[in-house]
Amino acid sequence: MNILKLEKVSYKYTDAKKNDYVFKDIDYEFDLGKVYSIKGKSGSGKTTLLSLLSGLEKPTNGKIFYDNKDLNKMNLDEYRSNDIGIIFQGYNLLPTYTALENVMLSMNISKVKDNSKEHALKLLESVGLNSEHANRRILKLSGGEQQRVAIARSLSYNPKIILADEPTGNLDKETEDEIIDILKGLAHNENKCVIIVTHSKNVCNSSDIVYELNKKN
Amino acid sequence: MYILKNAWLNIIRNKGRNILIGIVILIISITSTIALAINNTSDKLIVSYNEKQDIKATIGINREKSRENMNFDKDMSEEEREKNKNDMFNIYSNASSLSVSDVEKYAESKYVTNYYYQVSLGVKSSLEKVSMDDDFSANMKKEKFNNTNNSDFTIIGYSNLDSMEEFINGKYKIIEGEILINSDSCVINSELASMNDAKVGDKIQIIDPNNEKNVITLTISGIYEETSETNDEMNMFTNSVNNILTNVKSLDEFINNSDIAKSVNPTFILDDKNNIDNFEEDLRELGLNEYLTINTNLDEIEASTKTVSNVKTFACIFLILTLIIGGVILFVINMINIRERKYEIGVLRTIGMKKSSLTLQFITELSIVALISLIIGATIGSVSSIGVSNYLLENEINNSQQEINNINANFGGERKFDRVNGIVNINKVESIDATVDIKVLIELLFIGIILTLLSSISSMISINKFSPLTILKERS
Repeated sequence: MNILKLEKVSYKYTDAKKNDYVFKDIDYEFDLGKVYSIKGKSGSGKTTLLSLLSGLEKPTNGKIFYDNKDLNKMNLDEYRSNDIGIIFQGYNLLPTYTALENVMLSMNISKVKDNSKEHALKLLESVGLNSEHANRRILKLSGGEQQRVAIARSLSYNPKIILADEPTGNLDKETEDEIIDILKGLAHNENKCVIIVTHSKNVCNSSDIVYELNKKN
Repeated sequence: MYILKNAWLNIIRNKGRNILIGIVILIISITSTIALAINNTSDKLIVSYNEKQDIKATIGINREKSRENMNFDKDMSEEEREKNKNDMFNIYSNASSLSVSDVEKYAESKYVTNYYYQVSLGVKSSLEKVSMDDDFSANMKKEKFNNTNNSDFTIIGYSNLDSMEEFINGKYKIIEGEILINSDSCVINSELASMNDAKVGDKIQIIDPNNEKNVITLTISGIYEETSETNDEMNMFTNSVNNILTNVKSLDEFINNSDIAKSVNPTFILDDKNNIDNFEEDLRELGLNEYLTINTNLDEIEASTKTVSNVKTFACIFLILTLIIGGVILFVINMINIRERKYEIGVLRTIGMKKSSLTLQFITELSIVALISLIIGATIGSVSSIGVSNYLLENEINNSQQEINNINANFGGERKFDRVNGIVNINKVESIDATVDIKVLIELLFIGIILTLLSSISSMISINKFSPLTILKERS
């Protein structure tokens, strides 16, 4: 059974001309335990598609189903805080907080049962950050470390789906490989559905399924 | 709980921003505390004045009513005019001829808490009168007592010390001896004493001009003089030089055995200013003449608190201006702050924080800063306001003490009043130092809540207006 399903999904900006769709009639399916890459040229709507999947935007036409439920009829705040984890290219962490505080805040918002400091530290450890890193403010961490914090944050409430927008876009090759390994591990070992929007061939090659987005869609 | 924790974390981590907001709220709370404290103290003073100042009612001629009955047409003959004039004179005479029993009857009204009166009558004496050098004074006296007796002196009997208003208001002052209210004694004018070489302890006789066998003997217990400030031109004609002052008890028998006309001037102390009309109704039922009316000292009392009322008004205006200006500054600071925090709003909304929770967190942050500032501001403000309020009060207390001291000196002897005829020793006003009390604190808290909500408006708008994606895109 698909955890996420797109049916004839189209999107155009509100101020766009009549038939100027970013993409049109997309039918994608996503399953648990796999890594998906969505590639495409700049402006093909990769990030927009991720926004639709995360409930930050709504499609112009078509429907998105999460676990067979129409996303349009769900509480999107709860969906974002419980069912999906989002990782951004720009990390989108709170700069005045420490790595640990960022993760714990996310746990509190999601109201997870185990919102202890120990659990947060374990999550950070699982993405390769020790307690010293955990207690540093975000701006005192490197790009790779910040992205690991973003991954740990997205895992803090144990979502079924991980959405990543160019997660390795700002990282060097070595760090990129480490992040890919973490994401692959989440899909293959923890049965999560990992959807990555990327330009990177390396990421695409490491994925189980690749969707290509272009204007023809 | 995590909202509170987060709010505190944000305050600690963004010190500059929160210190700026805190300083603005601190200034507002200090000025508000001072203004509220002054307002509160003024209220207490006014209430205290109103509670402790006696409402005095006297009986006087109703001029308006009299004028209505005056009918002097142009075409009226000289005879008719004279008749009307006599009628009016009779009305005045009848109306003003109050007796002591009338006064005692009126004093039984349930609205009267105390009363006193003066009885004056024209008499002869064993003393030689001081000549006034003109007939005006003599004529005045003749008219006052509405008779033709050849009295040289006016004897005034006072029911108690409260009725001796000339000593209370400083017109007369004892310069030798003292006033003994409960014995067959009297006080006389210094000029009269000097002319007759009379001293304290000497005995004088009071003689009925219509019945020379009706005589009483009084001992001079004190000698008074008229103070210079009251010796104005008008006073020359009503000079007290030939006035002999005593108590009504000493005159009881003398009055009973005499047919000479007397003037009775009562003063009633009422229980409440709201009962003035009720008191008048009572008196009408008890037979108060329609040409007489009730006069009170209400205007005087209100005038005495006018300065304090002005300070109170000033404090209120100051408070309103502070709140308006402070509120606008806070709103602007928060608008600027919220631009900085848009990214934070975007991130929190993206990871699923509800708009309501986010709004609550922002309000909590401001509330904590406001509460800390209000506590510091209230402390500083209360210390400052005690100084300001006490300065205002000190003046009032000094004035009242000075007044009481002067009155005590006017009566002579060792007499020590705390309260005389409506003049109160304000030193007795209670809890005046507690300028910042629970009422002020509640008002201050209310101001704090208003300011917090006002300042939060900009963040509430931003949280509800922007979509998280838009914020994050702008950031990118």
